Amino acid sequence: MLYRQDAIVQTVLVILTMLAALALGRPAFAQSSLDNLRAADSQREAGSTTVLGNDNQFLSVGSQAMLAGRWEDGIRLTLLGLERPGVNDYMRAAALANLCGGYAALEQVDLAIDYCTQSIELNDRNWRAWSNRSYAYWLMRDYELAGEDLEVAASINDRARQLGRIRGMLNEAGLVPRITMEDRQ
Amino acid sequence: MNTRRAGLAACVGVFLLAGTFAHARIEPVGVWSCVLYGQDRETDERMLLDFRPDGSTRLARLGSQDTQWVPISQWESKRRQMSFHDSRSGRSFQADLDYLSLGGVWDDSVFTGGWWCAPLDERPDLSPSSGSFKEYTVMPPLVVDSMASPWYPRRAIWTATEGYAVVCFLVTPEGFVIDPQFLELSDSLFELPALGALQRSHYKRWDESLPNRAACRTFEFNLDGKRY
Repeated sequence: MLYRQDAIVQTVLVILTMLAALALGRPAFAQSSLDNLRAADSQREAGSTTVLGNDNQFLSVGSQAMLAGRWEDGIRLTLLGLERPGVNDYMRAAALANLCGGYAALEQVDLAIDYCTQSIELNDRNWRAWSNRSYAYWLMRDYELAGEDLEVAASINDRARQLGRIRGMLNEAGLVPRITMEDRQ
Repeated sequence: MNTRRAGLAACVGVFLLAGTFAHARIEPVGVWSCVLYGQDRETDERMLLDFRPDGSTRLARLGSQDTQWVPISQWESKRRQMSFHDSRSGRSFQADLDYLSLGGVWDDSVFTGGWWCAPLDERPDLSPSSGSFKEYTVMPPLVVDSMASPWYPRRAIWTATEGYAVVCFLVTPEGFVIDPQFLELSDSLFELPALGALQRSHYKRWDESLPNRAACRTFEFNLDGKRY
């Protein structure tokens, strides 16, 4: 197999996707102040009813499918969701980052990188997109580019646990141990 | 591989515990053959130390043709610590009497290092009239038969952690390593690998009538490449 993936990586992707799912909105019982702002934007654009939280079921269900590890379903639903009207740049960036994560999980790294790049072009402050692309580069064994994206993600949110995991994977891949011993007698 | 390492860890644990539970506080009175190491390899020495019940201390440096006893400062023992001073070298010595053998750290306000000793059954006669003193009778030459390498802990690679360890121990006439004691350890991650390597190491045998030999081994763990 050209690329390798283990349980840690799966966990990284799940958590990344879960957090992205929060950004895409949830059923009406869950609402954040940020979602309210996004809803207001949608109202201004659409000029119609207020959309609360679950304004794009495909994006929402798509992200939940990815959380459950159903990557193909998640990708399919997210792509459908992106075709629907009323998707603002913030939601689009998050959805693209999700697609990146999904394709990376399927080891289709070229597609993953492409979607992460699109996400970054919309919102370069989304550390998850940088983090996902870093992981995709790691899959490609391009550790230099993976490290560069990791540093950008860390400059936005250094406390993210996922970054620590990617950092560890890069260290494992790139660092060569050297042990010196000497008897003192 | 993980099962093998778990088994090795268990053996090392027994190796450690056996020494710990069988160990009583060190009584410094007596004669000891010691190795002394420093940050600079040039400071490594072999010597004899004689601690008398009246508090007097004598030192004899080995490795020269004229080995003789030289009096140094009184030794003192307070709680679990022992101390004495060698005015000729300017070194102050401290020992932790809870260690598995006699030893500890030294410093001379510029350099620092460690020292480790093996007990001798009798006080060697270094006087010229006794005939020529043979160093090997108190400190047999230590020749490595097999020196095992430690593994680099995966967690240390993960976190890009480098470090070092200095372990002192005794070697029996059969060449086995016993009573390992860490004098320096930069990170606990390196404890098990260092001990495992020691446990798998072996020295060439010598005459069983000769005593155990003190020695120390330094381990340096480094990582090459870009770290994140």
